[in-house]
Amino acid sequence: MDIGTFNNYVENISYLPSTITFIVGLMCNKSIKGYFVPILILVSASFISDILCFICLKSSINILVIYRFYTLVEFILISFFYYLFFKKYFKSGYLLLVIPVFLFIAFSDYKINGLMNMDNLSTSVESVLLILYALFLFLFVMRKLIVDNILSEPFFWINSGILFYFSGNLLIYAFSNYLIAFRIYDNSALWLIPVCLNIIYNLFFSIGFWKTRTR
Amino acid sequence: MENKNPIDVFSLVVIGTMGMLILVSFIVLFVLLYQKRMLANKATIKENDNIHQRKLLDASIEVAEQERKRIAANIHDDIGMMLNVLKLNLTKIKRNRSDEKLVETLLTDSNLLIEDTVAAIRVISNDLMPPTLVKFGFTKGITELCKQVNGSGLININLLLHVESIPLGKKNELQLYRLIKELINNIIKHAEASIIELSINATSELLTITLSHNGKGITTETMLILAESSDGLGLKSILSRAQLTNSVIQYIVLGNRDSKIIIETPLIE
Repeated sequence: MDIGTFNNYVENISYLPSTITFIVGLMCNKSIKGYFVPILILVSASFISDILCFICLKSSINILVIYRFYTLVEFILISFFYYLFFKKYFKSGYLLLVIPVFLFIAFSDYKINGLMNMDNLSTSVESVLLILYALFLFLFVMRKLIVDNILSEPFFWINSGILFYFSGNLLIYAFSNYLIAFRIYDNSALWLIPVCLNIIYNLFFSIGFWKTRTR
Repeated sequence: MENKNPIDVFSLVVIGTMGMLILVSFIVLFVLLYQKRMLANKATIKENDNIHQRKLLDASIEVAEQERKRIAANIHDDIGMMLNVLKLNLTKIKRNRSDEKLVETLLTDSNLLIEDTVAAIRVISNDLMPPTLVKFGFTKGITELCKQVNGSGLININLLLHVESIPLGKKNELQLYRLIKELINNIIKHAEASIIELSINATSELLTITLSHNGKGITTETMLILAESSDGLGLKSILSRAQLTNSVIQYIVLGNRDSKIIIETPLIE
């Protein structure tokens, strides 16, 4: 099997993780409360955007508009997750103040790159901000010792998923337009990295959702 | 150059991404291990705290038991003995009604015995619950205590009261009164001091009691070590009473014959 065939094969199954996470989310929807609700909405949005992308790709329609819109939804929902998580410990409202700033960056990105290019500026900024949020959550948990067994806490899995996914994708997002322009994706396994990270991301989210049942 | 650049970017992205993922893995692992370690430490501290609490509770129970024994001994030795003599006197009076002179002597003796018994009961009662403290509050109770100690001639206490009354609450008043009594007792027994200066000061939030003396002093660390030893019952009782009143107690050695004990009690719940 050459790399091109393999890439096509992986592309076809790359929608599977978000579908599985969406199903797990639906199964656990009764126990998903409080700060996990934005994550369930995010998983639902991810599932819908994957279906839309699949349809658009089959109809040869540009999917980058969906990606742009999904980036905004993703950042807003994950910010809400952190805002709601920290809300009971301190005034975390300033996390929401970052959202308008991010929207401005996304708009600037649209103006710079247009609709036919990847939104590498907003995705890079999104990654940096979410990595910082995730690291801050871990630091907070370590300092305050708010939980006894961190592995049994759903937020640990969700936060780890966010940290792995956005850390791994940071450089790929930052250089995405460059990599596309030089057609590096086409004949290399480079884009397998986001696919693998997406699997890890969804797997961690699924574990997080499942853990809410035994909380 | 144009052909080389994409390869450089490719390498940069791959190596950078791998580096980031390894770093994140280490961070997550570190969080897990650190959390585990900190929780183990927390459990150890909690366990030590529980042991300490249990020791203090045992000490306060033992102190109460000793207090009961002492009171029982006082009643038995003083009041019991006097009432027995009184009973004998009455029996003698009953048998020798005709001997007026003897009856007169026995009645006078009995009267004195009753007075002594009443005085002994007053001492025991005072010991159990100081009436001045109950009726007039903490500052008057302490003033009375200082008078009693000065009257005994064992040591000289200079009382410096900077406040008229302190809103302590009955429970805290009694605990602090006993704490000060125990501290004075310890100074008399162990410090070989001749003068104690007892200063009581209070703001709306904090009561500060300072006992300065010219005897041998100990530091807080030494006090805590002594309290941990099996014979540190009095010190354990001091710590227990300090804890009951949310007080902080400090033992300070300023010089060879210059020491201080400071008790700070919050006045706001």
